[in-house]
Amino acid sequence: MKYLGILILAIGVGLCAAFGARLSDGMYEQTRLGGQIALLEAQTDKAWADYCAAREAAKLEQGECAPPEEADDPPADTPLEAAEDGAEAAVEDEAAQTPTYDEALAAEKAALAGVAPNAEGLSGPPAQARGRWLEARTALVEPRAQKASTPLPGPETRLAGWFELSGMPFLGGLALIVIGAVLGRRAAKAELSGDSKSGDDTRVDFGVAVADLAQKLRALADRAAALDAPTPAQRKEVQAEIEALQLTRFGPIVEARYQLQNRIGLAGFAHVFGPLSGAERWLNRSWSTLADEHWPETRTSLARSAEQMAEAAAALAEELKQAG
Amino acid sequence: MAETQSSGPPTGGIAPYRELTPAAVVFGVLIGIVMTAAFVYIGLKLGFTLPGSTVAAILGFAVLRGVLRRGSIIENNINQTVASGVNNASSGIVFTLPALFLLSATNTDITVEPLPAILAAIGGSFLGVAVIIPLRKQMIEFERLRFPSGIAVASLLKSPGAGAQQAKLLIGGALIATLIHVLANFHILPHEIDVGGPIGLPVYFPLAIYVSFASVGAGLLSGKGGLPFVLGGVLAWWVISPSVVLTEWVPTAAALGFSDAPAGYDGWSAGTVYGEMLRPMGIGVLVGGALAGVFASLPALKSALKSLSQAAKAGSSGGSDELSPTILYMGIGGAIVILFGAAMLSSGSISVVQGIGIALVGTVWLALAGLVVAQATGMTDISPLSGMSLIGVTLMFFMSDGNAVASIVLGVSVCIGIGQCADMMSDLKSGHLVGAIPRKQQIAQFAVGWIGVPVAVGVLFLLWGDGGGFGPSNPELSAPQGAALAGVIDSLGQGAAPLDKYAGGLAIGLGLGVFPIAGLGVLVGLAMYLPFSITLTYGIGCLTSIALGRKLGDAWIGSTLVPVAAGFIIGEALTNLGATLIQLAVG
Repeated sequence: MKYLGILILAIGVGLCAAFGARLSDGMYEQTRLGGQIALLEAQTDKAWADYCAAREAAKLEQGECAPPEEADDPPADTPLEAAEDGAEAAVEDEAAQTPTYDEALAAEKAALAGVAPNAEGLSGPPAQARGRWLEARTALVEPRAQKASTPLPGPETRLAGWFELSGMPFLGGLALIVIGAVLGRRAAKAELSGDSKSGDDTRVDFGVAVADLAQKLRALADRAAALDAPTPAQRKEVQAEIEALQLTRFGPIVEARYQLQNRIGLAGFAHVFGPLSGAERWLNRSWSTLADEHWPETRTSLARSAEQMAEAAAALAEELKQAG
Repeated sequence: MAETQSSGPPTGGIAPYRELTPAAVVFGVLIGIVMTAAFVYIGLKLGFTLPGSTVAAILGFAVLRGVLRRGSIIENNINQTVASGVNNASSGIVFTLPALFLLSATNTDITVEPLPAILAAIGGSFLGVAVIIPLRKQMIEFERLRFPSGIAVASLLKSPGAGAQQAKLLIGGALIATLIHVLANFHILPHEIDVGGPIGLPVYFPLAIYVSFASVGAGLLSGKGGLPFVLGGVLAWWVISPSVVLTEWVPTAAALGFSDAPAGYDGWSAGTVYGEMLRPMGIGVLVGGALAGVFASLPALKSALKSLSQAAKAGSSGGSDELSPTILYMGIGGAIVILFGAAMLSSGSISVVQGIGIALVGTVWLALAGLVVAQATGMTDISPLSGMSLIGVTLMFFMSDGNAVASIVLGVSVCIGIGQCADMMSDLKSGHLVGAIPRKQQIAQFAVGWIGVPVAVGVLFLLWGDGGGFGPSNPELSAPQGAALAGVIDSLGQGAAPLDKYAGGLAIGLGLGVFPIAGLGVLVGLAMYLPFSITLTYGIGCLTSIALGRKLGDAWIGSTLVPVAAGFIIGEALTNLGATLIQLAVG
């Protein structure tokens, strides 16, 4: 049941995410125009770079290709970039009220007219290269006008448009997620309560493990309390014992915590794990203080750890009694 | 404020154990201030900052243990908590407030007033620390989230007492990570190894490895707990991405008007899948997953609050370790009042009713987003801070009727608060592992969390000068994140919020919350939100850890793999720090 649940869940997430990813018609159109412009702009930039290379090969002055002047202020645009920026600004100003296609087209054509003339009377490869650039630049006019005159769909329109297109398969996927998750929950519950045939050998008897740990911590704390000035060997022994408790006692209890959660519920689990984690933290502290060679604080920390572990053991007994 | 002795029997003439000491706080504040100023600068220059907690731990450890030859393990933990608490303001402010400066350069109606921004940021900072009070128990003690950087920092702090072998492993791991990171920084190694391209896979079916040993280390420390994140990435990038391209839901070359796919088409289609589809939906899944998590853990949260409250009243053994929930309620109340004040001061056009709405929604969002970021960081060490902040700004934009100033000023608050949650939680995880008393860590963070705010805002004003000190037109300090946020504010004005993707993602996240794996929605959402190369590298770490665990056992993982993985994270953070300092030195 567990694997069936995971499989159904995965199919559900796949369906939901795929149909959720689908763009509404309005956004598809915006994306299409944006993509067309981006790729055409890349072609235009490449054509411009080729043109500049052709000028260089023909040993012409940089002319239109001159880089912006070096200055302390923000870099200035080339004459060509300035003309382009001006045109874009004009289109953006109009876009504030979303221009009609004709208005946007007129603005784009005006911008193109500003950069189109071959004012230097170029000839040969540079002129041909400039012609190719102009052709690429001209191809941008219509898509840009179309994009400027197509308003971006608002959030609600996007939501409604998407739901109309993908809502049903998305909801189907969502239902599969819930079915898969419920099956997964049942399987997990069966596994944790021992009804599963999975042969789980990591089961922990919490009543025994927690009581045993509480006892061991109390014994360690009492032994530490009896030592006023431990020798380095005694300190090392205590450190080894702390490390063993951290790894072999706390580790398995923490690892198997979902079994406990399943048995006594989330609130009961919190009731036990609050003091248990406190005991673990105080034990960690005793390790740190031992490493810092501060024996009085080590003794205090071990005592606090034992105290909190006793609290955890009492809480567990109470919760287990309630759970029957 | 500083306490120097923990409760307990007389110490027999030995000085009290050093924990929350003036030295730890003062050095922490100084380190934090230097980090804040430096990180604001580097954030404006590069568009990202460094992992504050880890860097603070390295610097604090070097100063207290190395130079001054003093300080206990837990005192170092407090020092690192303080330094990263101060520095938290740097990323919160540098990712948001520059947008306001940039908008003011092109719009004469917009002016940048420091007071509302500082107020909002301080409000966010306090709330961020406050909401962590009950969540600490939930995430660290009950859910046992890994917080790989928290483990790495704890390994560093414990290294003096952990024995020579563990120290060697830690240093060895750090050296490997440093070497690889330096080689990548000098372009001797690529930042990303493209495996898919050479074998003919299209860009929308990515197979690339992100060259970062910190990511591998995070995966090693997460082990099997990180697997759902990797599977989420596989689903997003190897199933959904090719599906939406092949079903032509992404415009084909023909639909774009080209007879053959032009150069760059594959890259554009992959970018569209990521930017228009997976990323916004991933943000929605993250939020839905976190909401589901809140519902699922309500009984435990209620129990945690009850025990905190009882302990505070009775002063029982465990209770004195924690701050009282009263502080949480006061923090929430205070944050609402401060956010209301910041909203009213930010713009004359905000009405009182709007101000109240902004304060309430901002507070709720901050708490929820803080939970998302803390959970994501706890499970994977990766923080979706920018996505959560983006939603925060969007919410504020709509709540303020499209007022750019108010939305950015309150966005600052949200960004700082969320960052504070993740940072505090990671420090508390380190604290748990070294045995610090959470109450003292939280008191320290409350006391200093605000200090970085005026420092970061002041640095921004200094760098801005008479105008144009940073921004896209200044190649030295291009403020990429601020410019991106200004662009978002512009596009929000045109109605560009992808509500459909957020809503769809939210529903998926809520659905995943029913499955019996805690945080599944957050992990899947994070996988959709991130480029796949990061997820894959992290996954290599997870799978390696699982394989080694099966072969060599848990004891070996604890004694050998953990220090090596911690070394990876620390080594990369250290290299980043060095590179940052060199960049600052050479301008």
